[in-house]
Amino acid sequence: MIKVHTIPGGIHPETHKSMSNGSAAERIPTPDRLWIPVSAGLKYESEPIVNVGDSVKRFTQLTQPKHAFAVASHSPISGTVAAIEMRSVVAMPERQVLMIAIDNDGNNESERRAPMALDELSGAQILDRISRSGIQGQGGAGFSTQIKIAASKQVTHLIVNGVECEPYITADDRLMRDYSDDIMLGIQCIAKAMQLTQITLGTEDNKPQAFEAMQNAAAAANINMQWGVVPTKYPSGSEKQLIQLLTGQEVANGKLPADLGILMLNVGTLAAIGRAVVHDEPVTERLVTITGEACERPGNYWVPLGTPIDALQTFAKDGAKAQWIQGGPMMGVRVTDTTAPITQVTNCLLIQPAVKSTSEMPCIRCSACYEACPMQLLPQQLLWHAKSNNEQKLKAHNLFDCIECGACDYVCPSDIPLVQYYRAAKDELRAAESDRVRSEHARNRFEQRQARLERIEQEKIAKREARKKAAEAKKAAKQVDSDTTTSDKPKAGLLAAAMAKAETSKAPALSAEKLTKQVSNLEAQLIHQQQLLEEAGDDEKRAKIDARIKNTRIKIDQAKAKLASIDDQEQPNA
Amino acid sequence: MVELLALLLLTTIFGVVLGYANVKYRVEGDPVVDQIDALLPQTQCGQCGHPGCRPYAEAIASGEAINKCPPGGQPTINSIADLLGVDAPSLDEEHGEESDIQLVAFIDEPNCIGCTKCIQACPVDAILGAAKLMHTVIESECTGCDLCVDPCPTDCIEMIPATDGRNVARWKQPDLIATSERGIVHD
Ligand code: SF4
Ligand code: SF4
Ligand code: SF4
Repeated sequence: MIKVHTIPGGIHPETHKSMSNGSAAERIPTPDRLWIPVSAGLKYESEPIVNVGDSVKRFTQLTQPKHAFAVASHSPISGTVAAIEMRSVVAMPERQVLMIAIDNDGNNESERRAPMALDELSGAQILDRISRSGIQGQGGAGFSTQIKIAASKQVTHLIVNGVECEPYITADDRLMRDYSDDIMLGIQCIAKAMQLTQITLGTEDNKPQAFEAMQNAAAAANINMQWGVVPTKYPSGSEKQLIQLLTGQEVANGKLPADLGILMLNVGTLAAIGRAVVHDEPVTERLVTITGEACERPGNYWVPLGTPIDALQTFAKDGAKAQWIQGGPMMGVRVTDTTAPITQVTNCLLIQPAVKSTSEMPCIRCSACYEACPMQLLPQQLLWHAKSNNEQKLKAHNLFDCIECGACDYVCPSDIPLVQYYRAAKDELRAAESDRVRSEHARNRFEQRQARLERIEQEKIAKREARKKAAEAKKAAKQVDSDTTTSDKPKAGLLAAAMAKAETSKAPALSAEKLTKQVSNLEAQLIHQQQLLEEAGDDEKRAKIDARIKNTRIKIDQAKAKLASIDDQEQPNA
Repeated sequence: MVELLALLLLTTIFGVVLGYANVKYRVEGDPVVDQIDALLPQTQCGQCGHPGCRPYAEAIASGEAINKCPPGGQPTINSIADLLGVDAPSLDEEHGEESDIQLVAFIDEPNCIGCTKCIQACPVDAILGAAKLMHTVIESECTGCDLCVDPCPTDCIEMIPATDGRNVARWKQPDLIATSERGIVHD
């Protein structure tokens, strides 16, 4: 048992955990149709590698990552690809993403797997198996586990996160009690592949049975672990908070746990790793706590990924007007579209009786939110600046440090949904940033194009001049030719041509006579254009003629200037 | 007399220092224009009546109205007003309307005859193609300026919503879930 440190802020809401953690996890009947988002995690893109009509088995790979942070998806059932189309996600009705529909054929066929004992696998093989199994962080953030591990090269300390501090949720609790073997396998995989020297389990003091099960499993698997039991307080299970609780070290602003030599993985993620590596089974289902005051049979259920929330409607109490929340009561989001599927980040479905929402009242500056904030931010200031979308102030108050834990929401006497303001503000700021990058890029391209067009124009002019000079030189050479005697013709001819060339390169391109003529022509043109301008009716035409007049004026000025320079040159000779 | 001399000396010294500073720390170009240009969206569409964003920035610096850029919309107007310390007017609708959805050009390739007219119109070289060969728009480079649509003789260019992440739905300010609806009450 290690000494536990303290963290600032935090709250103690009613936990409501006993509703759902009484019995072992069960399986729900597999629905007839699953909808698998092509880009699991939604932010980073993958592409489908199956077509409509293809038949698939359980574990058949459906998508291939296009982005390094993206993960692959695999079919949870055997059946046929019925459709690939745009569908809404759970909490943003406007947001549509590409999803693959799999129709269940009921045969429950699996693709052949290649299970291997841990002893036979090398570190590289372990990492490879992890990377092709499509594992995302199961704690709720959904970041690619492969990338998290890849970014933790110098890590020596694995912290196993079994805190699960959010009220109502008991999936990790049940997982530690009933599947501690899988978790231990995962720990062994990571310890072997990354050559770790230290492993610590962090859990809350309200899960004694889970703690005991984990200790027994560690002893059985012969794993040397440290044990940290933190007092129940929300949000102790958040990454930075748990590191501080267990090690006393703070992850500095802009740093990662890896900078402290720490890798933290959730127990669910570790169980998935264990199954992926040893049993060669990619993630196709997850343990979901289905609970709430309006829930019929609260408990933990293995749900195939892609199960539409609609298929779970039987869990809602009869006759109750319920509202569904994906995630827990603190960090969850309202389910706006019940056709949306369960994904790897769905740790909980909360079914609460619908209550009439009270409207938000003005902030009274009580600073309760400040006291609750585990990141020691100033939530009321952030709210103020989020409402006015003040980018500089939001950044100055470290908006991006907010872990969206909702502690401030919970304590706010004015019932202000603070976190939602922050989520919106973060999105706004990110969008502004990418707009800036984009316009910078467009500016560069525009300027480069302008420069190129300019250069091409200059080259054209230069070529034209060169041609003209060459022609004149030829003419001059011919003239000299006819003047000289036949005997020294070649030599003299060449000489004369060279001289003529030298002369023309110095001489003005146009003779004074020509220029004078040009000026008078242009002046006549100008008078004509001015007449046109007076006659022109609408503004558009006038603007065009105006432009032409300006052009003519410039030409006249240029011609006059040239004329003057010729005069200057000729004077001394005269 | 001494005072006069002292003053003379001081003015000379300051004169030299200022003169030196003027040469040494001269700022190239016009910083105000640069700052305004940095705030404009660089769509290069010309809806403001200028041939590109920079010329409009120059025009603003010499006194033109700041509300003529529809792609930038109100946010751009606000930030320019902020920069110049003036009140932010609303967008002058005469130049176009602000749109929520960002569009990009899309060439219906079977109808493209390879005339290169759109390539010449595109201010940011976002169209790829060659004479008598099919053209296409590189989405990530397209600013959605609309300038390629008119020159196309077969009308095969269409403006469609961008799919490269420019239009991804964002969280909105609270319409999501009020604190009291979460089923946990604070003590
Ligand atoms: S949601 Fe953000 S601001 Fe509110 S308490 Fe948590 S970390 Fe602090
Ligand atoms: S808890 Fe609510 S009312 Fe109190 S200061 Fe924070 S935002 Fe304002
Ligand atoms: S492709 Fe068309 S719409 Fe896009 S930037 Fe070029 S000219 Fe404008």
